[in-house]
Amino acid sequence: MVRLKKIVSSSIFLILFLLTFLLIFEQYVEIPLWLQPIGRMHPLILHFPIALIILLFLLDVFQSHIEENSYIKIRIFLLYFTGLTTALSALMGFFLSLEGGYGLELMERHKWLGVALCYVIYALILSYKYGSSIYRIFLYSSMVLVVLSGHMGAGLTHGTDFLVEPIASDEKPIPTKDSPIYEGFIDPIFSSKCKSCHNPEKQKGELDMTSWTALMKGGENGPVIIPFAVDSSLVLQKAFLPIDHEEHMPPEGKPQLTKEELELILAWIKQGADAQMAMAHLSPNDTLYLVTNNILSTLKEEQQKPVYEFDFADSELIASLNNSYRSVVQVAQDIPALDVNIYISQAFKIEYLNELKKVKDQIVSLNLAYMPITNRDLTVIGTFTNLEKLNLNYTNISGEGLEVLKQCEKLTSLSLSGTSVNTELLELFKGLPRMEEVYVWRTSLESADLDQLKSQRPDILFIEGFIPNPKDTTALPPPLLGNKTRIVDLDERVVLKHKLQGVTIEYTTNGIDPDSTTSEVYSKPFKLPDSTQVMARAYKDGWLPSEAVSFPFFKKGFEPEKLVLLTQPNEKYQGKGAASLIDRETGSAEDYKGRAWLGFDNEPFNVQIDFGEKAPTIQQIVLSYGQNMRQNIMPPVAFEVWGGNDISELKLIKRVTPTVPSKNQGNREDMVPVSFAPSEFRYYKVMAFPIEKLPKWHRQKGKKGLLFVDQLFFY
Amino acid sequence: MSNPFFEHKLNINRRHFLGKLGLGVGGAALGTLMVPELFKNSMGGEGMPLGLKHYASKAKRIIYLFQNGAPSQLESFDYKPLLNKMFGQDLPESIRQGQRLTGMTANQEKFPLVGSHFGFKQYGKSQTWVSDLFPNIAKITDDICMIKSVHTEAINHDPALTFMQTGAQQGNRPSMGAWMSYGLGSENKNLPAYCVLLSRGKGNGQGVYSKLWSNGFLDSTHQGVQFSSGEDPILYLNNPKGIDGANRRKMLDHLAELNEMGYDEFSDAGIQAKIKQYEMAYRMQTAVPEVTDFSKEPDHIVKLYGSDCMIPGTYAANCLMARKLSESGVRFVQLYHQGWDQHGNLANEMSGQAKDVDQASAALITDLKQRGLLDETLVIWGGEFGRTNYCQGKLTEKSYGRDHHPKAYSIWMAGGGIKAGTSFGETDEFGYNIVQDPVHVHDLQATIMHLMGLDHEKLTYKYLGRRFRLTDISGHVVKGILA
Repeated sequence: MVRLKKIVSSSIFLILFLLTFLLIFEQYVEIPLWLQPIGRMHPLILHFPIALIILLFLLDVFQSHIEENSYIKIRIFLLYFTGLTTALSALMGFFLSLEGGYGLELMERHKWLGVALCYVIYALILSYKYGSSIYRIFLYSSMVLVVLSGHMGAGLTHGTDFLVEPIASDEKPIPTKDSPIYEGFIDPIFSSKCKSCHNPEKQKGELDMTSWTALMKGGENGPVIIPFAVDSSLVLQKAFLPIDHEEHMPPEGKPQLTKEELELILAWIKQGADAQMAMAHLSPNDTLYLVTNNILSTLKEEQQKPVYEFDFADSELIASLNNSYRSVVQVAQDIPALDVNIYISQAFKIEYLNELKKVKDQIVSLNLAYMPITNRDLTVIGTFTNLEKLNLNYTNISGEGLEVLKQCEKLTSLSLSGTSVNTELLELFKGLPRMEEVYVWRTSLESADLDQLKSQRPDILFIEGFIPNPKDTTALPPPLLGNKTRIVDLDERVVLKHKLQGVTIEYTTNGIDPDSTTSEVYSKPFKLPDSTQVMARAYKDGWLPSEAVSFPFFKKGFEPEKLVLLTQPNEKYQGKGAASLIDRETGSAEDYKGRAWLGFDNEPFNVQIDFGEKAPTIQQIVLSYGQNMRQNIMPPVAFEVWGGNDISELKLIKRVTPTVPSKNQGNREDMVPVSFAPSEFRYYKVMAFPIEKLPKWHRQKGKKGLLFVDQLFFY
Repeated sequence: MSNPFFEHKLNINRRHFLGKLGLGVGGAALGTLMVPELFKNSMGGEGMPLGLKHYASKAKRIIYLFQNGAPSQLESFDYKPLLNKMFGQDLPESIRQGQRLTGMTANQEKFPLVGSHFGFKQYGKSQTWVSDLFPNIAKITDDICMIKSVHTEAINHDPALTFMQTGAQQGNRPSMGAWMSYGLGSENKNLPAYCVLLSRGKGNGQGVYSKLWSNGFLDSTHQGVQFSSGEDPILYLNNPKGIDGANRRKMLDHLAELNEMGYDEFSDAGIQAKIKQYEMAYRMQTAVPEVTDFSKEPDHIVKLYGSDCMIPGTYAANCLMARKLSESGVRFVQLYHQGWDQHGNLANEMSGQAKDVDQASAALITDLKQRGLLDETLVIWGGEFGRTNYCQGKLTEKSYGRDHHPKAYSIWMAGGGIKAGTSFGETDEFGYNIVQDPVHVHDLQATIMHLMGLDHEKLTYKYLGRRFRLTDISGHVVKGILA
């Protein structure tokens, strides 16, 4: 026992010695990484001295009730134990203090009180043999010290106003454009970065920055802020010194001024550093205004950061709730609130909703759009009491049972577009005090009911969305062709279709614009007697008729043995040469750069055709061409067919001259048929002429036009 | 003399060896105890994002309506009546300030100023100026924020486009959508997080290339998926004849096994990506028809977007598709509408272009809004740079052209976290230089990321020994446009 006492006593002495040494050379001490955990045990160990000192005090108070011998033994045990833990916790506290990050002033006080407590306790251990009065002096002062330094230590970890927080609310309001810039923006910077050393108690450099008058008085080197004089204001001079300069402020190792803060102080001094100047007095182009505004919006942003009081959901639970059709994610890394989306109505199972009960407190946003959710399922949603945003667009709810949503008191946004909710909303919005936006586009709500809702809850924005004007003059999109190719076999049928439901298609097969007098109503695919132009238009109530579309259809016909181009197409539109004229692939007028087209401008299109030894009887030749008037691609102005059995002496069989369009007809594919008396020539020559001058209505009138051909057919 | 090195070797005996070994191992062990990260592999996994936002924000998805070719700000949203007054007069050198020009106009003797051929009016509570070319966008000015002071570094289409989309001009970096996919992951696991839709305009066009939706050095799962502009936006979705769903599943499982074996042997991350993509394709078989089927779209939607939306591959059809994809949880939908490069014949071509996009762009905003989706979707509308205030080529009353102008142009944004119904930034009276609140492309990108809850300085990827980010080494969040 004596040996143990000696060991403990000398350890206490050693620790005290070390602590004193460290305190003297504090400036030079740098704590290695591995000691940090030891430092961080300070908050753990420090509870021993507190409890033990109180025990010693109680022991003294109740001395008369305890048997003499026991009293002495307990006291000695307690004294040494207290001494050891006090010294240890002081040393650890010292290590911890070097890590930084604590309020400076308070920490300094706590540190020195703690150190003092250490010495007093050591004195207590030494003094107990010398009579009770001197022992009591040390005991009582250690009691006072432990209470004081304990309180300050708690202030360091929990904040100084931790104790009174519940009864005193001290929320600093965000400054406005009318509040003085000094008070609202500059002074808070000084508070966080300067005042710990420059305050009435601790006037380093004889400077106190805590009040306007003290600040303007300056320090030992004179005034620190000189209005308009950016260069001579000491505050800025010191802040702009290199960080390792001895005079740099704030000192190295202390929290530094940010770029934004420096910009603000600079602009403020430049503008005269007036105590009353506010943003409202400045023009919005002023640098000071802009810098201040930037800080203001940051402040506002921080205030807007949502605060949730519920706990984080277990990350494994969140992971298990995520699957191919359901995404459950935290709103942000450090926010416990969850955002839930469920997708793909075909794959929906009601468990996807029910399983969410496991995180019912955390869900703040839920998207169930298009899912087959019914009225009954709303009760599950009603249990998500922290829900703020709910999307039920195009679900199967009808409004009945909607009132269970009243339990989601925090709802601010509710989307009901495309559902058949109705007057039930009147009942629902007797609750839901925080509701801000309700989306009621395409619901069964009548406008009278909506007006009633609006007057019942003027604080809610009801969004009705786009309602088409009944007098709308939108034209229907034109019908589409269902066939893959416009070159058909004898028994193939023409298929017309439309993407909208309930559309009537009218068509003609003689190249005449279909209006109700000349056309037939399309009911099923039809056969064609000949190569011809199919034209069609779509009709539907509530729409203007579509534009007429034309689809030239071709039978396959005879195939020549050989084709030779006698003129060369424009080098930009070479297609695949002569062979492409009988490859039976048609081009699209839209895609005029496509490889199906041969384009001619300087020379007419001129091709020589050879049917070989056994020439068939031919009575019609059809040229398939394209027009894209924007690109100057026009129909041919003349089409000639020549024939004969001697290649050098072909005779003109027939010439046709299609009419030049009198207005812009846009893009389309078309045909020129030429019929003549049946003939059995081996050779033919086909010529087609591009327009020399674009017509008057054309925006490039007078310029040379282009002729685009893709196929030739022989019947 | 004996060799000191040899001597030294002899000095090491077993005891020394074991002793030093013990110390070494002990030291290393202590090291790991103190600094747990000491021996961790710093290659993969470093700074991998959690797929969560850095901070809470409203926007969850982006629809980027890229107007490729650079629409003129002077005929759309930046109203400069002075240019009409000074028609034909030379651009003062005090305004040009030696700005470099493209080869197309650098040799012009004169730089005659030309004002908008189209009138301008103010619209909405915000009194935003919009030209007569965009009557529908004019109706939604209270939902958008017009930024008139964007500036870029590139003067030609390809580098400018690449800069806008990837934060660098060279084209080897991940694009914005790939960064979003990397940072936030996919919402709907049955669809790609990043989809690309192309449409061709009526005007003079400039190409777009797949490098614009590249994953760069990021995992290839973050690459943009380009939809076909034909009747079937995604080809070969149906199972081939004779193969049913169960069969397909079995085939994919076996294929995945084979690929896993390949991965075990070569450890190529590309193989893992391939497996993931096969799985994605399988799930897309159910998801895509539901999204890309327009036949169930009611008449009023067709009227809203314009009847062009029924023609696949048009801008209007792509806008409708963008809404459907975004509604289904696609993180980033990128549209490109080509044909905005009006070096000549501007008035004529631009009215065609405007007709292509005006109704559908506005319809998209309206449609998102009526579904309660606008506040969680960020919509961006704009090109890669602006156009000069002076005429390129011959100037007549009716016909003129404008060259590339990187120093100032306008774009607009709407939705998620944007201060709606405002204009931001100003150009001078000539529409040439920015006089207030310049927004660099990197600032814009930083802001877009901020709106999506991402800190552009924190979302990085280590590649070739350097941490890369979308905004390279610059960019500030433009606070003035945040709600």
